[in-house]
Amino acid sequence: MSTLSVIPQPEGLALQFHHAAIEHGRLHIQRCSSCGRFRHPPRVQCPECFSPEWTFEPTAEHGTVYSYVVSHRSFDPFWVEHLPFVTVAVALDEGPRVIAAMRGVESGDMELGMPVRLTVEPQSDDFTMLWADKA
Amino acid sequence: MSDRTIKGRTAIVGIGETTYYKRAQAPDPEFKMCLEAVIAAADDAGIPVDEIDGFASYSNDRNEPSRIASALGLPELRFSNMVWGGGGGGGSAALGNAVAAVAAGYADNVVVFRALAQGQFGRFGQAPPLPTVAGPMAYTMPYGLMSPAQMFAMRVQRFMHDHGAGHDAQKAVAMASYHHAQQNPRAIMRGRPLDEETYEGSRWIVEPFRLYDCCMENDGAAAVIVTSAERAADLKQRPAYVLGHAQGSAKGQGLPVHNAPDYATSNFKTLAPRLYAMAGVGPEDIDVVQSYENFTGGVVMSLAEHGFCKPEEVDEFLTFDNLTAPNGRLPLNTSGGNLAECYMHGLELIIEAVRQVRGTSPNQVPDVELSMVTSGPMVTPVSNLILGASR
Repeated sequence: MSTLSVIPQPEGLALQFHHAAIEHGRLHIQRCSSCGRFRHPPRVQCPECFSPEWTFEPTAEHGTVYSYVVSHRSFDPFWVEHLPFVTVAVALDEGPRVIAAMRGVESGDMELGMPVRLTVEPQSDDFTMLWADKA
Repeated sequence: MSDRTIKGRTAIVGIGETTYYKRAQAPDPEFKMCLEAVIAAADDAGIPVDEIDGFASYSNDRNEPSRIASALGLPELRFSNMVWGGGGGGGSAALGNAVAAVAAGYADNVVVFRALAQGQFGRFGQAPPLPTVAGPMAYTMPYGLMSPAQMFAMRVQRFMHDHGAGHDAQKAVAMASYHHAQQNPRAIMRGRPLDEETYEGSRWIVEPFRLYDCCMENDGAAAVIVTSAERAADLKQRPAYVLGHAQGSAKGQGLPVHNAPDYATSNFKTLAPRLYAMAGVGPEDIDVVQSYENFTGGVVMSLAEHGFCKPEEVDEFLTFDNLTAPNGRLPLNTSGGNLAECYMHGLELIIEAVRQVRGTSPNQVPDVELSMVTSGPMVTPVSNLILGASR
């Protein structure tokens, strides 16, 4: 699998998000310890009940394509070599949506609602890519 | 105790604009163009420049009111306002804020303006190359999702899926805009009409947007003046009375990384009812609409959410014939708009809405009573406006 040419260096909660995924080899997302709602991206406080208590919970790494775009142009040195490329917003089984890179499906065969499996692919100790494959 | 409304309290009485240029092609500094547009608006209204006492803008405009006031030698500054967030979604909100200032008695003659010179300051909407990316972009940039086109395409794609419609409507919006631009001497795309074959054959930017689904990039400046309805009656031009306004968005719509609970929306669902209630009218009463086109798909969603047709019916109702002046059922973007006149972040749409009330548009709709503007779409906050020929 291709590696990003420039690997991002996350900080703060984003760094914790990546560490949770890399340590367990599985996508984790935040869950409010008070009301139990899952959320993404990670934040300090629950937007529904305002509790500051949370954990990172493992996900099933499964969801459906909530939407997707097919990019035909890019300024990014990695993605410009993979044009056209499909980016998906995946609605996880747990509820929140995450952005991932689609692979293995021609853009013309993409359909909203398609079930996908997500794979964590660490690029460094601090950053992981998320790939989506048709499930 | 009066009702909480600004209906009929103020009017737009002057409009001014510089020549519109392609991105980075403006021969003048940005601030100079800003002053030009302000002075032109005052002249159009018949208001002496030194009676201007307030300013309102949006989209992080760089031209601070204190600086403008000093440059113009204004006796006093009484209102200095910027809409917070939303980029072009704040255009009608800036107008609404100016209306509120006049109605509240803070200021008498408030200019609403937008000015930009991208050659001087860099390309609008493009982040400077920084070694770090903060906030929500950290979750999208690694995936090559960085431009407004990509962000909004994701949303429009979902709308098209949910309602089984939108491709033909997008095309009709683009073709109507270019058609109107041909009659407009100010339009950048005058002399470059768009036919169906050219639209369909144009390159994909990011699916579902082709080249002609995207707004242009321009330099220039535009301004309007708001004053009380009483004063408006004594000035040079026919007043465009402000009858209704709304701004904002629904719960959770600011949640980032494509997690807004109501995703496939232009964000007008909570605003349209408030707008119509304040003006005391419904969509069937609107004679002409200027609807902000960052992308055609956003216009389609805006029009459906303002009640002009059901989302499932956009391809049937939003047709070239229905959208073109003078006789279409819903004349749209009658100056060419962001797609074909110029991308002045929607201030030119407000100006065109005023022209339609005055009867001076190059694509004039007969007997305009009610002229609407929507500013957005798909951002937060968004905003909208109804102007009227009568109070």
